[in-house]
Amino acid sequence: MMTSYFADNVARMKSSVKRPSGRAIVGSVVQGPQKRMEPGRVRRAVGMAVASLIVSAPLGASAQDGKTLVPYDHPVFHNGHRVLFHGVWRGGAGHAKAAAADDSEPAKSEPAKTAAPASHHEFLILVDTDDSCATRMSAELVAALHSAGVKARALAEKTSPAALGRYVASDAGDIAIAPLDALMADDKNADWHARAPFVARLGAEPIEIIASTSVTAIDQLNGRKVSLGVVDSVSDASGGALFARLGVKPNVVHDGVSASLGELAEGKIDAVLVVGANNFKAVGDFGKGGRFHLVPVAWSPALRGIYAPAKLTAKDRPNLVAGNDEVDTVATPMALIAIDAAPGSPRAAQDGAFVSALFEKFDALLVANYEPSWREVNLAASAEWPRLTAAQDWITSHHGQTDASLEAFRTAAHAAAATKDGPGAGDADSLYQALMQGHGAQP
Amino acid sequence: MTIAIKAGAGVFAGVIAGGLGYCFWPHVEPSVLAAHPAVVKPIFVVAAAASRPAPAPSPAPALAVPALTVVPKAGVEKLALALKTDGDGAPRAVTRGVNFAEPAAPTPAPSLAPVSVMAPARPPSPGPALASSSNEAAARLGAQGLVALADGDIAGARLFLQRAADAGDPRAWMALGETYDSASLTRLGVVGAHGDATRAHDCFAKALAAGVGAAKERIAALEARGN
Repeated sequence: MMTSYFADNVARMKSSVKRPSGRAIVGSVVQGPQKRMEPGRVRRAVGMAVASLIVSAPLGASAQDGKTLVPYDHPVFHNGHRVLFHGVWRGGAGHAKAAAADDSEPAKSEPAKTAAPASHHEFLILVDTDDSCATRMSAELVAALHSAGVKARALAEKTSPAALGRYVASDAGDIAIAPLDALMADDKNADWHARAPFVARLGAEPIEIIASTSVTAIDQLNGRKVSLGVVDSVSDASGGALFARLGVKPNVVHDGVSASLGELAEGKIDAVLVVGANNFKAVGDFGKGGRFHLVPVAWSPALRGIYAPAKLTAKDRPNLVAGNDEVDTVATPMALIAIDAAPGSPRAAQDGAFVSALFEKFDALLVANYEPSWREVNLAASAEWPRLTAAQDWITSHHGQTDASLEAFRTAAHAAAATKDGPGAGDADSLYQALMQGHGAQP
Repeated sequence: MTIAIKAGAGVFAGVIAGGLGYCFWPHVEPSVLAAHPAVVKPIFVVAAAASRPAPAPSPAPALAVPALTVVPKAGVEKLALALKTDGDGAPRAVTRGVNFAEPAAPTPAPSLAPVSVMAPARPPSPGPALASSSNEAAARLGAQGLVALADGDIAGARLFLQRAADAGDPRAWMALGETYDSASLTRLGVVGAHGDATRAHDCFAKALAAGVGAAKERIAALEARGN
């Protein structure tokens, strides 16, 4: 069929191309189709050759140094597709080179981590948007990193320990703003903990429990419906950890903060717990009728070691705190957590650029119109959680030896904290004394 | 040199891409060429399995939801929002009414009532007497604040020490002043947080007013530094 088709065409062409005399131009009959067909063949042949070169180039490079692409040792998914190698979609060649340097020259790789390695990687910072304080801090952090020449982006996500565990396994982000209380309360034997070290402690965020004025103590929430926000949110994680510590067993329900407040107003649930909601407009506007208030959370020894006592006033919650009253509650510490950055891993080396930008440009976060809690952040603060190698290296290299009086103060504090009942009134005397030693003063 | 190599590589890649496009570009009707693509901006979506059952599912079709709306009820467990950036590099993305580009107005920090340094309520008295006057609960809170301070947890230390001071331990005012004194923060190895001379002065003044004699030297040191 094909032969006859072309034969017919050739016959038609022969009949259509004739000299003015009426004689057919035989040569032109053959040449005509060749002029139309040949460029296409050449184009495709050239295209195939170039494509072959492009496809074979990475293979050749890979064979040459053997470390252009570094295989993952665990399942990693990106956009729903399994990713087999480092360097395919994140980190690129620089990432692979860092990994190669770690493998080949372990002794020389340590200083390199603290030397602000240049990175073209875009750091993904995961933040729970129900935690309005952390949300604002993430935006400010991204801006500060941009000003330091480091690409970063904040992503609305969930940052509970369960969510972090999934991120570590799925490689879905680089840094998360997560609650330390829930992390410390999480299963100590979880295998992902060592792969999620902290970069820096952040400020403490108050926990607020909004309920009807008939609920006057947190233990009255036993068996009652309490919303902890959406599943795996900061409120869910910290609220669950707080109730567990206090031995309160509410009937936990999950919904968004705004929806939960609506259900509380309609009487469908009994309380809503929120964390870091100081910038959350829906919370600030709630309770204008005077039917609701903040349930006090009295300080108790069960909260020692993680939480800190906090107070909320009418200035903080004009609709929920009356007049000059103050409501006791607790604050949970937050932290920047590096995802899948175990010591010596390629990700830990890659995070060095983030650490350098954050630590060296930290003053950019202390400006007047930024979140006030930045001004309480001590980048050198420790936690009962492993610290990212690059962060520890930076602190070590930029900080000299501490004086003897400070070491004595720390030793006394750690000894007091290690006692069964925690630091007591008797420890206070020695600790105040030790603190003042550095000034040569007596308390 | 590196930039030149990169630029050359970029030009080379462009030439290759153009050549391939020319080689394999299909013949299409002009009307097809004129059509606009359906998707003009990529959306970063992270898929991950849920560890716990999702809350009550919503009948709303997830695929019909606009790209910048997070709807966990619809069974979309992990929809991360790419926060687009403006040309100047500033983040510009809005989700749930939060504008990442324009931080909210700052919340004024609570201020302590000014206390006259030069007119203490009573003359300074020695430490042991003050310790006996503090109740045990206040002392325990103060001790926990000092433990937090030793760990470098400035935010936590301030919360504990403020509570201890409010509960009647005058030494807590002194330690609280330390957390705002830039010289003390440096000595404590703090990185990042800056001092607040005004608040440090207020705290030392309250400590002095409560009978902590050492506060007088600290106030003098602050004033000597011009604070």
